[in-house]
Amino acid sequence: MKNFEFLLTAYLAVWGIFLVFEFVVSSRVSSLEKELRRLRAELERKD
Amino acid sequence: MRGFGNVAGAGVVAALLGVAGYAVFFVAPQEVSMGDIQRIFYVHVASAWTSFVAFFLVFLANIAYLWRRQLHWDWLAVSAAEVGVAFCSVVLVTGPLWAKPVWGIWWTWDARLTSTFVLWLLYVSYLLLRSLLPDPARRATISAVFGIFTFLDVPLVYMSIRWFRTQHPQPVIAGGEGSGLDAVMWQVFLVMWTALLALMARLVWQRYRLESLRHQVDELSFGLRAG
Repeated sequence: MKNFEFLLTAYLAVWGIFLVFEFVVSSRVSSLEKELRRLRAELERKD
Repeated sequence: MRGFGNVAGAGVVAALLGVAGYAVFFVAPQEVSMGDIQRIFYVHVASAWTSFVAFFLVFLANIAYLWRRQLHWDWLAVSAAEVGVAFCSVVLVTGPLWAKPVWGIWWTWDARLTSTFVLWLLYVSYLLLRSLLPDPARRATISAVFGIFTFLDVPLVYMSIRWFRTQHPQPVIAGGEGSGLDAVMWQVFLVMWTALLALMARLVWQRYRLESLRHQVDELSFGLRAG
């Protein structure tokens, strides 16, 4: 296949960009959920 | 239930992307003059159109915020802007990877390429501007006004290959007389665009959830400090 390396790089770059985006957002969501649980528990203890 | 919905949504998007990838490499016919490198077209153009949809969402959310002054419109705007920038980055990466073997150069400053690069810069500036404004209401108002003006570049990008002579190919879709796409290529393009729209919807939803969680954390932290 002619120019296969360009085609492969293009599709790998596309999925790379979206995987990085998904990974960054998911890990930030998980850490915020953990923080939210911690804050709720702290609030309950105070009450 | 939310966990199941999340996994099911990811599964649907992954399946659509799998079908689209298969269609690009095994269903779409080989283009006569460019050969297989033309297969970049499917993800390049579909990503460009998807970024336009994301930026239109930003535009609508910005108007809705200025009208209703409800912060969730601001959360939608920033979520769609980040996702739009990701899709626009895909356009800027895949374009040169197609151009090098076809044109012999990675980049040229013609109207389409320049206006697309400016579009990317404008939305990156929109996101940077937000990071400089700590007060949520002030941040939402200033970035909404900036975001509405930023959207003006989208029709300019779309029309640039119609208004100017460019190195970038003339439109093959909705390009008027003499343009057009093979029927199978058109179907493969639509499959890819559908898959990318589904991916965009999922990413915007996830990013919106992040913004909503951040707001809840800020409110609880404030409540704990105050109480």
